[in-house]
Amino acid sequence: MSGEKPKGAVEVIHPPNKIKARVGPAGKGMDPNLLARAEAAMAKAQEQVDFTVQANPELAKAAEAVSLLLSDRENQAKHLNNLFNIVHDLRGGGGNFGYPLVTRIGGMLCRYLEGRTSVGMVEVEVLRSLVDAMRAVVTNKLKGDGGPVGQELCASLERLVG
Amino acid sequence: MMGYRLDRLTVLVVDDNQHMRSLVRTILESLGVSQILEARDGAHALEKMGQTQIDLLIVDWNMEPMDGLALTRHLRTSSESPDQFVPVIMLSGHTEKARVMQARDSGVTEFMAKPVSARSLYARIVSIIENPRPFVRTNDYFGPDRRRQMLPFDGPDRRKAAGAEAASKQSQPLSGAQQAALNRTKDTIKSMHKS
Repeated sequence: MSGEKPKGAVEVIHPPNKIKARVGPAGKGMDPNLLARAEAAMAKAQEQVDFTVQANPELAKAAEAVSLLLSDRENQAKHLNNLFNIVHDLRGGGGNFGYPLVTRIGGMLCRYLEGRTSVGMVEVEVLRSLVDAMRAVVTNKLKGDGGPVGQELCASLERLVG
Repeated sequence: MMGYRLDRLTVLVVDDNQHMRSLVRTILESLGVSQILEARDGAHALEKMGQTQIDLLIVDWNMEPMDGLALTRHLRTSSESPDQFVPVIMLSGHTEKARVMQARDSGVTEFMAKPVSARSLYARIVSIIENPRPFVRTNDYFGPDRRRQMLPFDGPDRRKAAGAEAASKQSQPLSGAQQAALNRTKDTIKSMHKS
């Protein structure tokens, strides 16, 4: 709209609140009945999804990306990025479809990768353990908090990645 | 209690994961939204927006070929944007502070960490209705005013700047405690496969 602004200049715009105009003035805050209905519908929908069906092939791709970190070192940055994206999606879906441990371990992996553009043998071993742990959770259908085994797994991984 | 007429809204859900789209659709339908469109990535979303007036976008971060950040930037700054001011709620598996800031800098209206909950989505929709943010234009940004804090995200707050993390992440050998933890992890996984 306008040309180059002087350094530090800020134009503040108050666009019309089209969404408010659309939904009307009658409401205020969240309607608890509506929220309860949405939560119930969501719980029902979550039960109908078998997360392992989408997670298994993605975890296989994650394991492949970890292997490539050593066998194709020239393209490590690409493989790290690929691994991050795969795990990021699993991390997002796990908690919504009954596998919060996948979200928890995936979160550890994403944080471990944050800021890394290259890795050595040690880091690859850590990454492999994280991916193997997610695979074990999914293969064994460790839903919810995973019980004592799931908790033990997460505790040792947290000690590993700090 | 008379609530907002959410049935009058047209919402576009943009996510490459069909299960996630379906879950968000379920929440929206339960809240009364009747016009829900879906797109599988940013480019597909723009195509849909060329055909229908959208009141609100719910956008995943990670998508190919056009991700949620690129879509938001396009909406805010492109001369071909169908609506520069359309509210955008970004969903993401990212919970790190630096990532939330990255989303904010692309021009999203609200950020929401996965896992998605009906409460957090509803709260953000109500926030957009009741507390619209002014837009600001500077030399390097156009979008909702970033000085107003977005709603708290749901995940743990890892207050680490990406740069600081990068500097601290050099390749180094495992400590004794880490090696023990690695061994313990491997043993646990092995026992899980046996049982």
